[in-house]
Amino acid sequence: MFDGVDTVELTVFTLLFVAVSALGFVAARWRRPDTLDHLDEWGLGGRNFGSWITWFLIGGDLYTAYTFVAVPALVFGAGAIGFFAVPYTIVVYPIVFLVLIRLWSVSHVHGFVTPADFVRARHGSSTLALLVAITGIVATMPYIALQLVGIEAVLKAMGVTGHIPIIVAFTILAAYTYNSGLRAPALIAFVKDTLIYIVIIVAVIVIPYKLGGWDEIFGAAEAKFAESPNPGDGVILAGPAQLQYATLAFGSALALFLYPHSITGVLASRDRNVIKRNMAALPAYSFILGLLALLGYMAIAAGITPVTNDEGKADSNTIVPLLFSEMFPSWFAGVAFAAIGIGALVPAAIMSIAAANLWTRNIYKEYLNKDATPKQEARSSKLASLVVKVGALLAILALDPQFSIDLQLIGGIIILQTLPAVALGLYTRWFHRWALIAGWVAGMAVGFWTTFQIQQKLFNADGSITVVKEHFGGSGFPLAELGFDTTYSIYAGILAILANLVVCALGTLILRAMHAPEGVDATKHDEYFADQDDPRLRDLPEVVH
Amino acid sequence: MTVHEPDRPDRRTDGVPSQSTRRAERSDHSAWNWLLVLPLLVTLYPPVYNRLEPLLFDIPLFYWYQLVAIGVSVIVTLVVFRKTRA
Repeated sequence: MFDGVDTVELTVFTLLFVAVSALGFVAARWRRPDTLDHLDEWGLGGRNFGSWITWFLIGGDLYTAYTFVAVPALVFGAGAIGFFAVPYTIVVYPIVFLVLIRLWSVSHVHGFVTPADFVRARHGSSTLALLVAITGIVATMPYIALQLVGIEAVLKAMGVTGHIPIIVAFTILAAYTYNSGLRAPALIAFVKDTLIYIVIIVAVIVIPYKLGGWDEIFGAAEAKFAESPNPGDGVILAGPAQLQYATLAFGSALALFLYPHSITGVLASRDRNVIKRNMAALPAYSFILGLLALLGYMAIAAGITPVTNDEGKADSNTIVPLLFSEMFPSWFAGVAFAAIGIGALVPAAIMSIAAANLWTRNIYKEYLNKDATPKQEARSSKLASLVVKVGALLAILALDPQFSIDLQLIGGIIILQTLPAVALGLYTRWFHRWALIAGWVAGMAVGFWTTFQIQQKLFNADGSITVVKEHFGGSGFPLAELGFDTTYSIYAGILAILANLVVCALGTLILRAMHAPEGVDATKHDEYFADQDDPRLRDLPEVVH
Repeated sequence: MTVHEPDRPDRRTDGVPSQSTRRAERSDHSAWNWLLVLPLLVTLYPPVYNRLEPLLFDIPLFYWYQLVAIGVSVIVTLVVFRKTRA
């Protein structure tokens, strides 16, 4: 298990990992509440996080370990298209700036913990809420599993093999999340993000210097892609790839804050200004992500070859850890690995909390125990967070990790299908609740069909093409499949959400004409603008909740 | 909460009857919000920046343009935040 392991690297990594785990347990006492037996406390950290904590928490939540290894890996393999993560995280904050403060306000007044809570109250449909909850859980699960892929990439680069280290790491994670709730990742995020910032800033100064400058780095990348027979790769986008690049960035941005774990981070903040301020401050992470993406080119220039797995397949996720190993002294490589490893723990914890909250609020309380006390709710969530993590672990250990990668690819597309009910629902009740359900079904169907059709192709030197993967080979859907005479591809999620919206609109018109019952809206206009000092419904005994 | 259009007619965005009993209806409306469109315009049309030249510190336009665009996004959201803060 530890053959050929660099002991200095591993020691530094382990020390930091253990220190952070201790922090996770201590977090239960941090900003100590009267009781942790309430979802507002366990699941939302008391709904009282200020600007700094929120910045670290959401940053640590959105920019995951998987992002840190997969984005440079994509740039390493395909070039410019992998840089889509940058425009994606540029446009997301202006897009959600006004939307999130509405969501925060109405959730603050009503005590909503999940997006499905809001949908239930707004549209008066428990079926729609259930669909939103299930979509959230299904989209989040593979994302948690992928965090393990991030840790595994680091362990592989250190020469540690076998599954036991991962099982140990996830067991510790499960224990302190159970114990401390959202306070654990919030506190750990300080360490994680500090380490990440240090490592990346050092990397983009030291590595180009060692490699002979940016000129050399981009030169090596250009040479690699010029040699490659794939017409889609390159240091800039091939013409037809531009549509896919822009739609992938835009579609992913629309989807990001529909993910339950993103919403958990938002609802945990203290007031509207905390959210607004963070929309301006979070792009700092995007800048780091952009620099990180360029590590893919540095790996090309440094001549890094990815670790091959047991079946002889190259695991390109290992290139960043390998680059660190090669370029840094052992102790600093250990720090860098710890940054990625700990980087997996923060989002994994928040995601499991978010999924657990969906389970508790929208399935357990809705269908299994309608009169659940706050204490029972907290207990249900704590247990569910354990189940979710065991599931993620099994998904990686028992199934092919490729399954999780495929699912996560679809995850962005399916979570996007909750946009009409959640994001548009914050602005309008024009859509009929049953039409929203029909739209969701249509969007899901289109999303699955399009991604199912997408093949992953390998371009051989002799000009022939081998289909490496029949289905789920990416998210760029060739428009030629729809009969258009073009080589352009578009992000499959965009087609799915368009289908969804069309069905929502047509369905609404039809249902209106049929005078189908509208359902009751439990929210009021002013509640969408409430701030911290406004009364909450649960504090007003005379209001029937 | 800033109310920039005190004489605005009754907006029934939510299908909720207007609450004439309230002194001033609350709103997030502000002309500053339009600035938020700018980061989308500069990044979502790749033909503008999908080029190698001009280089900046030996980095192709494609990359440094988008890194600079992050700064645009920060400034825009910061301005909107300052102008609309509660």
